[in-house]
Formats: sequence, structure tokens, C-alpha cells
Amino acid sequence: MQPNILLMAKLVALAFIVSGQLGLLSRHFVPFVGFGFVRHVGSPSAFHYTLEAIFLIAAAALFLNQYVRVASITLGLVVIVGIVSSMFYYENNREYCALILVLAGLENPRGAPWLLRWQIVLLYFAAGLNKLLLADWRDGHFFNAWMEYLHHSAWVKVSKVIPGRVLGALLSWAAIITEFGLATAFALRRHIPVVIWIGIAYHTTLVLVMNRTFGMFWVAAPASYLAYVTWPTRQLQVRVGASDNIWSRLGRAVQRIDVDRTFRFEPGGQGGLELVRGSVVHRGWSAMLWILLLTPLTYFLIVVVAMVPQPEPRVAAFIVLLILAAVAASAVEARRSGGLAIRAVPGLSRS
Amino acid sequence: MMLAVSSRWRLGTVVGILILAAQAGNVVYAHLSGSRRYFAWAPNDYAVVYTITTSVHGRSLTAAEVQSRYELKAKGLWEDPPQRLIDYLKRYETTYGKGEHAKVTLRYSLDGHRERTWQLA
Repeated sequence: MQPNILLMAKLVALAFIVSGQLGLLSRHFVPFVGFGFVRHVGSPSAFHYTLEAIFLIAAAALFLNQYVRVASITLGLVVIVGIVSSMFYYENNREYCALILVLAGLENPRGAPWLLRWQIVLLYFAAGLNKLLLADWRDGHFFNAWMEYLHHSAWVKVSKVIPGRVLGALLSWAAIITEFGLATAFALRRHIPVVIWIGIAYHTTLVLVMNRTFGMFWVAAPASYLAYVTWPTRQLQVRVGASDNIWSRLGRAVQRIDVDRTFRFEPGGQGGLELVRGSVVHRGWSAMLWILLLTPLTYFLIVVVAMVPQPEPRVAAFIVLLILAAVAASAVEARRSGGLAIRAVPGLSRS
Repeated sequence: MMLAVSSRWRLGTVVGILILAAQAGNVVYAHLSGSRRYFAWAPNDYAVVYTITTSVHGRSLTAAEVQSRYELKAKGLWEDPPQRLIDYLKRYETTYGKGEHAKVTLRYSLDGHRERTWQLA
């Protein structure tokens, strides 16, 4: 399994565990098919704990880098069995997790992850199509009813200025255009860094506004974008300056915790810290940002902070949006200081 | 050896393509066959405000009893097509609840439209 796909599978498995989804695994209640069969496979509790145990064993294998493809497929199959055995357990976000885990295991470990890429395209195309074909989405009825039922405070305020149906229609069309845009851009594989940025911003904005993670979607959808990312296989050069400023101190701290040897630390560098990423040299805060973004541990921490059950997921969403803003500022800075060769840049290239 | 490895990966790719093709086919089928949208990537696209009332052997169940029976609140918001809620209640009553002769009434409003009633007697 390629490192980007392995990281995706680990992030989804971790999110499943820390968000409490593990405890929500099916207890074979009102199955889609095979009612007679399901009733004879053991008590609901025994069935549930068996699924939990299999999931945890497969997740352990995945995190220990043992039989990763089998582990990933097993994780996905556990969720699929859960869905088939309970109509109540079925949710789109769980189905998506299951499918990307299974596809991650089925991918050719030596080739580009086409299966996952087309899964992403299919998700956004079908989601956009469903909205487009619903009259209640096109004319704003859906959003108006949804927000009024939830007594959303921002909606109440804004709808005093803009009529609810008009506001609803604006938001509906923004979602439809975004989803079709993501499907098209991911299919054509043009401007992938920008598309990934927009996709993460889209899901995170939904979390921020609605104060809920939509099950596993907030992690599962952005994690699957890793299918478009080439994870660096060679050490990236980091230059740590001799001057005693905050960036050089942070650089030396990162050097101590870089157990995977992702970076090759060398003396030198302007502004205390430099990261060489393809033809781009990041300096200072930008170098620190990209060192963190190229460290898998960062994503594990973000997933834990984002998915641990909490009353205010919008706080984590706000932090993610700040990170996205920093990434955008870093890209602008890199472009100003000599051009950003996006396609050649490890970490965000389109292979 | 090379041939065996290559065939193994091809099998994985073929299975993966079948999974994607089945999904794509199901999306088309879901839109042509009605309003259920199972496995058709229609997440949280519906605002169904509903109330379930159930009576078993002539006795009306309390809201807590309804929740315990269906693992679903007696009143709430359902974010999938209403037909799926009907399917769920119907499936419960024709399997787990079979023989109890439950009378189920579902009142719901989809996306703020006028209320509709579905009954299972």
C-alpha cells in the first residue's frame, strides 16, 4: 500500500475509534436482508462485540503496518456487515468510510490509486445530482425548513434581512455548484492543490455552520483526497539557522521528534528555518507549517481534536479553517518569491 | 511469480471497478425507481419533521416506548427520504413486531410542505 493511502486508512480508522463510532457498530437490528439468518448469528450484543473486536484487531494491524491491505479491507467489511445487518445503522458517511477502506486495500500498491479517485468523483457527482434533481433544493425549501427546525441562530438573524427561501436557494445552489465543481475538478485532475483546499474548506465550513461533523464525513472525505497526493518518499531538506529565534528553536524541537526521519536537518537557512520542497523554499513560519503538514502525526492530532465527542465541533472547525488560511498565505508567498511549481512539489502533486 | 502477482492485483482492480460500477448503476436506478435513494449518495438532503404514534393490542405506546421499540425518537428530524422511514417502520413491524398487530401512524412534513400521514394497521 502506498504511504498516502496507508495514511488515509489509518486516519479513517482512528477517527472511527475516537469519535465513538466503534461503540455504535450494528447490533443486528432490522436488517436490510436476511432477517431469519441474522437472528441466528448470535445475540445482538455478541454480534456487536464481535464486530468491535474484529475492527480493533484490524486497526491494530494497520497501525503496526502489518498486512495493511487485508487490514484495510477487513475494516471496511466490518462496517459493511454492520450496514447490511441494520437499516438503522446505515448512514452515507459510514458507507463512504467502508468503501474507501475496502478500495484502499484493493488498489494496486504500485500504481496510482484510481479506484479511490473515482470513488471521490462518484461521491460528489451523485451528491450534486441528487440535490439538483430535488425541486426543494433548487427553490430553497429544503434549507429553509432545515434551518427553521434547528432554530439556527445565524439563520434567524440573516433571514430577517434576506427572505428564508431566497437565502435557502442561494445556499442550495452554492452546495450544488461546489459538489459538481469538486466532481469535475477531481475527474480532470486539474489544479489539485486548489481543489483539495476547496474540498476541505467546504466540509469544514459545514461543520462550522452546523456545529456537527455529519458523522464521519468531515474526516473521511478530506482523508480520501490523499489519493491525489504524492507523499514524499525521499527525505526533505530542512535548514536550521544558527541564530536563536523562534523558528530555529522550533526547527531544533522538530528535529528531536522526527522519529520517522522524514526530514534531513542541516545547518544554515535564512530566517532561522527553511524547508526545501521541490523547487520551492519555504522560510520561517511557512517552513514550520509545511514541516507540520508533511508529518503524519499532525493529521492524527487533528483527527483526535476534531472527532473526540464534544459539544462544540465548530471550535475544531475554526482551527482547521485557520490552517487552511495559513496554507493559502504560504502559497501566495511562495508564488511571490519565485513561483510555485505545484506539479513538482512533493506532498501536493498530481501523479 | 510475476504472473501470479500481476493476476492478484488485476483481481483487486476488477473487484474495485465492479464496486464503483455497481454504485454508479445504483445511482441511476435510485433516481429512476422512486424516492428511496438507498446507497445513492444523498446525504442529509431531506428535512423530514415527523411524529410516530404506535398502539399495540389497543394500547398507545408512550414516546419512550416508541423510542425503545424502534431505537428512534417518537418525534424528531429525519434527514433521509421519508419513504426510508416508512420502509424502516414497516420492516420492523413485519419482522420483530409480527404478531403484535401494532397500529402505526407516521405524520411527517417534508421540507416544510403540508403534513402527510402514513398508517400501518
